[in-house]
Amino acid sequence: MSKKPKISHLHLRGLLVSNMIGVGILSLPNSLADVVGNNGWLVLLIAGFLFIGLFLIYNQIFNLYPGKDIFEISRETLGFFYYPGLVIMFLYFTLFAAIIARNLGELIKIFLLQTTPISIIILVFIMATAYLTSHEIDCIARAGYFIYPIIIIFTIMIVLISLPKADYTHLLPVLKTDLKSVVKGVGTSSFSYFGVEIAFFAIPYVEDREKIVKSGVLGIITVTLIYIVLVIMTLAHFSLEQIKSIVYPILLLVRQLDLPGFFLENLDGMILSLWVLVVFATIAPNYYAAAIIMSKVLKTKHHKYFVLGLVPVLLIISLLPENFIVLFDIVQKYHNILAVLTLLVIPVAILISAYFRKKVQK
Amino acid sequence: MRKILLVFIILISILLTACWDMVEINNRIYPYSVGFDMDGKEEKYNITYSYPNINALGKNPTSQEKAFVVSTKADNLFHAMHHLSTRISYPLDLKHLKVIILTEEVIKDDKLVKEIVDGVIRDFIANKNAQLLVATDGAEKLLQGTLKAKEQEIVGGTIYNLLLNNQGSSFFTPITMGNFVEDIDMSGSAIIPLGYFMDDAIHIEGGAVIKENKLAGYLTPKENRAIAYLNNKVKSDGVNVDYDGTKLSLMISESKTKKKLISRDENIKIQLNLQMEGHIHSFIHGPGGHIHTLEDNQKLERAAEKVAEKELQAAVDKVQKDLKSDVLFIGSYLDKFHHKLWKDIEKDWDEIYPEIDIDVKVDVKIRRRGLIK
Repeated sequence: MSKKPKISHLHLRGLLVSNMIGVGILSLPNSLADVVGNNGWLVLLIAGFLFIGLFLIYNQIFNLYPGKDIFEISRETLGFFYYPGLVIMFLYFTLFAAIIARNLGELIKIFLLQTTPISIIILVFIMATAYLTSHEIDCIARAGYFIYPIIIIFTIMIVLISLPKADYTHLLPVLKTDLKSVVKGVGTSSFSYFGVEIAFFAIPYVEDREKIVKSGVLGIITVTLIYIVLVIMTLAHFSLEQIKSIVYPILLLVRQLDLPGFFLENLDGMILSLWVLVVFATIAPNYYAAAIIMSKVLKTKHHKYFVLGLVPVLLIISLLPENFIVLFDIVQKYHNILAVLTLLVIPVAILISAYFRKKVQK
Repeated sequence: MRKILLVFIILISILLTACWDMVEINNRIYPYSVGFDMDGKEEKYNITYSYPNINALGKNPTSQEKAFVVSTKADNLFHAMHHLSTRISYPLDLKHLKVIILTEEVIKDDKLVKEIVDGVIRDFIANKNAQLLVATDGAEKLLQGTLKAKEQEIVGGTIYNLLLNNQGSSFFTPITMGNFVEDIDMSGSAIIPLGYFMDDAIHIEGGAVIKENKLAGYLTPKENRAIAYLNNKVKSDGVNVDYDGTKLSLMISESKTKKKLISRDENIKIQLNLQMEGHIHSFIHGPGGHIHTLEDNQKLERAAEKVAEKELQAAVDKVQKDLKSDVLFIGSYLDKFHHKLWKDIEKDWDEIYPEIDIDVKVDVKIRRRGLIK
């Protein structure tokens, strides 16, 4: 890397938002309703605060070692665990990208391209992403910043078309869930916040360092608000039992609307095509992270060779799950374990070790 | 050389690809109503599709028949489409399905309604906003009927237009697939409008109360109106009252019902407060003379309240005591606003519900008297 990439704090926010909002958004109300009933908004709020805390931890790591990137820091602090840590992170990002690709392929096949084989859909999508991914983090952040308004439009559109027929009494009774399911619900909703870890690769290159915290926190708040609004909208339209049984409540919400004058019917095609862009912005950073970790492990100058090399890997992993149950339950479970390690254990270990070393040095 | 090759490949991929699997709209059939009759022999249903004849539309129609009706024996909606593929020239597409017509035999069984609804909701393409209708004399008969009135030529289209209920009738309450599932989830019961063919015309009025996925009983048009009032589903309606030997006709332009829990002891008491607002349609100047004073107006209001209360209470008693169906969403109201009480009674709600006291209180406000004093 001859020239260090530079990104602005606004791009960081765009990257965070577009990376966190991904495939899960269409099925989020369903997974929340299963656990906490109609108090989904509450657990989303709690999870949002937890992830703000997590983001502050990440930022603190880079505050302790200004000017260094995540690999230099973890090599210094983790010592023996440096390579295992990288491997876990690599597996996490690869699996994440593959799961997203498969989810996208399934939905596109069902709703838009019925006769195209799923492998072709996924391959084309991965190839398109590979082009973006072969660039540095600044390009990816800028792409995220471009997608950011699209996400806002996506949300506003869903809200606008679903406002007229909403019945907010479905939200009652408020706060009548026991603590145990709230804790479980926070866990469930955390899946929707995966993606915040892209901050590892972005924070060191942000120009105006003093604005990182403000921008990052604002980004996470934006994500939380979008989630809460969408969950409330679906709750106001369906009964709880219905949400529990529908796989993609947001899509069905868009589908079930009939506005007066009914020239606007079956808007799912439009929403899905917007959503493809949202997913594109989710898959690219994860793909990039996987490639750059691999290039660090193998000590190459540039990560772009691994981008190409990862295309068949991602394709095969994403085609491996035999059906939707394997995809949603089994693969997701492994991914969640990896996520806890990557998002929480490794950064906290780095931070503790960093503090310890600083103390010893003094 | 390489550049030329590249340009060549790009040009080929742009110019030689097209909508290879495109299907023109006139090569598809969009049925707008589908009817389920029981067959009971080899296959479960006799399924009838009705679809418009595209060639008969437009300025210079090339064909006379406005709509086609085909029926086949099959186990479900999709099975029937396969059967029909041997008979009709183009594939059926359920994306614009507008009306699903059930029959009495279908809704009497406790599994069939659920099965049909599940099929449509689960399918990726089928329209989730299709209206539901119960045909009392059989679905095929309803769809095969020919209309006398010239302006309503296609039965399927007429049914849909009636069910859209742009005229704001309160004698039936249209319900879509999605609403039906929602109502069943929230209260265990739902009301589907009834339709039948009589004197060369379609009639849609009244309702079939579905409880636990099967028929609990029928509502007359007036009872349906009463329930619609209490569920805030009436847009505008008229009320006729006998007053001092003359007929007072009121136009109700706004109405709102609020539920209130009066007593929460072992004898739960619910009050339904219905507020109606409207103006006088027609009123013969009888012995009472003109409507001058506040008092006169109030007298008329009280008279209207009495009549309305009686009618509503009778309907409530019927759905509560006879049909034992919670079509008024009282359980869901208690769950939302009196959660503690609901938690205690939730399990035995089916036994408790017919025993509770439901009081209807009507408050009529006559805002305007028209152009005559």
